[in-house]
Amino acid sequence: MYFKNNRPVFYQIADDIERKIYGGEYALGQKLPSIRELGLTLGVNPNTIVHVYDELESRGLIRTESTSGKYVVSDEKKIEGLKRKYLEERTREFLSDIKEINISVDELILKIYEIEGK
Amino acid sequence: MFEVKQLNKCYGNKIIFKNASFKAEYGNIVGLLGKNGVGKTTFFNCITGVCDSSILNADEIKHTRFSYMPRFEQGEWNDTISDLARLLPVISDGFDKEYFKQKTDEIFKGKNLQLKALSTGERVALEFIITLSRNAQVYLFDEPFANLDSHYREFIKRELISNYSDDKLFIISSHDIAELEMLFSHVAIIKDHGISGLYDCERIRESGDTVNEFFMRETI
Repeated sequence: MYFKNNRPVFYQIADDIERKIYGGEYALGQKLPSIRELGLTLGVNPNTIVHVYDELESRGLIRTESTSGKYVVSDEKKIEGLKRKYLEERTREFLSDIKEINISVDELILKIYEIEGK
Repeated sequence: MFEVKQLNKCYGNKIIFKNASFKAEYGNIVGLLGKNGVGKTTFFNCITGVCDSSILNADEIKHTRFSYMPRFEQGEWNDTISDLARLLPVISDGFDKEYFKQKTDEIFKGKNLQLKALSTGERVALEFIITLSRNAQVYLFDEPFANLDSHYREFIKRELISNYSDDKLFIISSHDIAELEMLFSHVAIIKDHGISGLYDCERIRESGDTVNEFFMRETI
């Protein structure tokens, strides 16, 4: 994973895991790596990973089993709802940027098709 | 909490530290930053008693168990790695023989080399393994990346994360800020004969700076 050095790392990792949960790379109910394991994989301070998991928990994406670690929540409806909300928010953000440079939605859609090769 | 109160140190007429203080919780990895010559190595030498200095709570610090990364001079060392494996546990209480064996085997592919046959980088890696094999509370690494290739750097980063625990404090002096800043929980900056309080690295990034940019600005 590539990090921007001027944004809190725990946000960057939490965002990445959030997307992986929505994308299915982390399945519903799946166990997440331990704090040290993930720290080792990403080369970051374990304290940072503690913050990552706190953040994901507060976003409602994972839960703590007091004895055995962290798991993706198993509630499919809940994840689907959060995913829809994520899509909505990101699209609105993106659209407001694009509208600022005076590009119409039609033009934007054409551009998306062009880039995606359709 | 590890604390150094009112450290004073000079070399002849040259003042290095004037009432410098340092404070950090165990369970952190602290980067000790400073321009060349401000006293990073001297700080390590003072708190471990390698050089004389005046410290207000010297008695308290004396009871802290340190593991200070040694620096072997290049020379005619006939001893081998397995000689070290035998000797080090004798002079160092709680030395982790298994860890030492496992990691030196990993780095030297199981070969029992003489110390004089090691390259500079291999020597640094060995010094690093010795440091982590000791049973201590405060671990001091002075420029652990000096002369190391990317493989050894990765090895060192990995071992720092693997060996990190709530009851240990790692203090790392380094100029390789960009490479280490993801490992640091905090940084402290030595300047003007003093040591700054700890800065939380995530806080620094929150304000849109990299730790390196922050360091550059603080040490103009």
